[in-house]
Amino acid sequence: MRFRKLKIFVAVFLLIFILATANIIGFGYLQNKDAQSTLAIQADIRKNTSVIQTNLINQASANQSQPLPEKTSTVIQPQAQSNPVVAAGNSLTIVPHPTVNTRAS
Amino acid sequence: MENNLKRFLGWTVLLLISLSPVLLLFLLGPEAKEFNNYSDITHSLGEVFGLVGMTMFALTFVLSTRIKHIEEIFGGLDKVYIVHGIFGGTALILILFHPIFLVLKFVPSSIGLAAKYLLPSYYWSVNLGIIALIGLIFLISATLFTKIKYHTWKFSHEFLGLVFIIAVLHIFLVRGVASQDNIFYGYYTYAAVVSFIGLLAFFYSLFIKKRVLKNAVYTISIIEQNNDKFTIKMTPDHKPISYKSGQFIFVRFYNENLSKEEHPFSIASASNSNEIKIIIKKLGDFTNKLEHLKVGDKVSVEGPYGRFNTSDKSTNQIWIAGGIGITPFLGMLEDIWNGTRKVSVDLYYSVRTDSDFISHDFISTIASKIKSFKFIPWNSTDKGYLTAEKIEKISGNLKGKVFFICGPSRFKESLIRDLVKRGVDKSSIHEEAFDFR
Repeated sequence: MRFRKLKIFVAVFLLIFILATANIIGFGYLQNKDAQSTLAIQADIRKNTSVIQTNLINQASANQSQPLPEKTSTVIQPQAQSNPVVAAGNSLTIVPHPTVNTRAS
Repeated sequence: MENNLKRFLGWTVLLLISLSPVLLLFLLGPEAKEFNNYSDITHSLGEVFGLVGMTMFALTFVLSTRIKHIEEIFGGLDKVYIVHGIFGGTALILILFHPIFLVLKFVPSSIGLAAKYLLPSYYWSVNLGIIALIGLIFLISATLFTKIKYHTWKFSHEFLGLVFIIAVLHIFLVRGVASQDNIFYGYYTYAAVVSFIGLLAFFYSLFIKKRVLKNAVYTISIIEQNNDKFTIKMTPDHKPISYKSGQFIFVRFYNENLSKEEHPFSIASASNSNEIKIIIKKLGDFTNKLEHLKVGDKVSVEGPYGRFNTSDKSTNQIWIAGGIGITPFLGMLEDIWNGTRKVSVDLYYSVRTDSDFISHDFISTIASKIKSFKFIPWNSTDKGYLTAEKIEKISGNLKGKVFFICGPSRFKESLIRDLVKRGVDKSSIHEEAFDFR
């Protein structure tokens, strides 16, 4: 068979490439999905916190004779995530595309 | 020996050109920041793999230009196409490593980031690289792993030129921190030269080659069909081409029932005959339609190519033909008959059944008239496969003899292995590769 050895080499490396790429994209997608879910939860928490605070203030002002309760804010702690991107300072750092500024000077 | 030296030098030059990015990497020295840490090393390797792969990719276009000097170096156009194929496949493998190594630096800390790197984004410089890589994988896989029709494959193969153009755009639009990246900055000029050479070769093949090579026009004078074989004789409309027996030509038939793509066929007539004879066996889509050919049809002839006949000047030769592989030997036999070639030859002609023999009577006639020529017809169904041991029993000691083999790939490969095992020097074995894919 013409180019038999070459065909075998190309087939093997293609397979390695496809597996490596699929794994990276697959696990990366899951990681990014987790990160996005966490972002969504945090956004929700901030929104709910703001609503709760507003309601408390409104309630307090309705009962004018009574001393205003201490301002409280209810914070719902998200479940622990082992997401290194989110865990760092509890915020998602936006990173530019890796082709730009990929080397430290 | 001289031919082997030329081929060795040809390979050496090609490999040196291809590996020059690696050599330049070593010149940076161990203290260069390109080797600072894991991230820098993987990034540098990614860039180098890309550059070496692109260089080999560019060289495949140079090899496919059919320039005579390149053919001379590698001992025949069929050998040049073997180098072209090896370089093309290797280029693909190296280019596959390019994105993987670039991405590796992100994998330990954030596989999510690595994934983003591999996927299309709004950075078109990177998207072009992804498109080029997918195109390369698809088109080279079609060449290596599929059996699509020849004209479809040939048409699709031309698109590798477009893939190359997209890859060149990727190289020049991707902006690393050029002033801080010795490899990228240092190789920018190198990448420009390589891209220019590849593009020049591609456009030459596409537009200029046809004008430079000045195909000769012939007219079909005789067509004979014998079962699944066609013997076609053609006479030149103007000046005939100059050729040696054993060479091959690219032929394009002008008939409304046949596609216009060119096909290579061995010349089966004596050196420099006014009338060219080719013998074609029905093997595929194109050859199955040859019944539509008629006397008077025009034929475009490009060539000649191949160094089969001129590979060795030794006078003690063993010729081994398998099936349709007899065709180059028929022309060489006519030279012996005409007295223009003086060699002592044992011709082994192996076929599956007696009906597969081509020009059996003609060959037998020459054998009966010329003492230095011995004809050994070999029906493999009756006598078993032709082996080096059987050849040695008939022709005597194989060492010191020179072998010319032409036929199907498996037939040739197994015989060559067998001969080498029996002590024949590989440089004494000359073969003609019939299939370019």
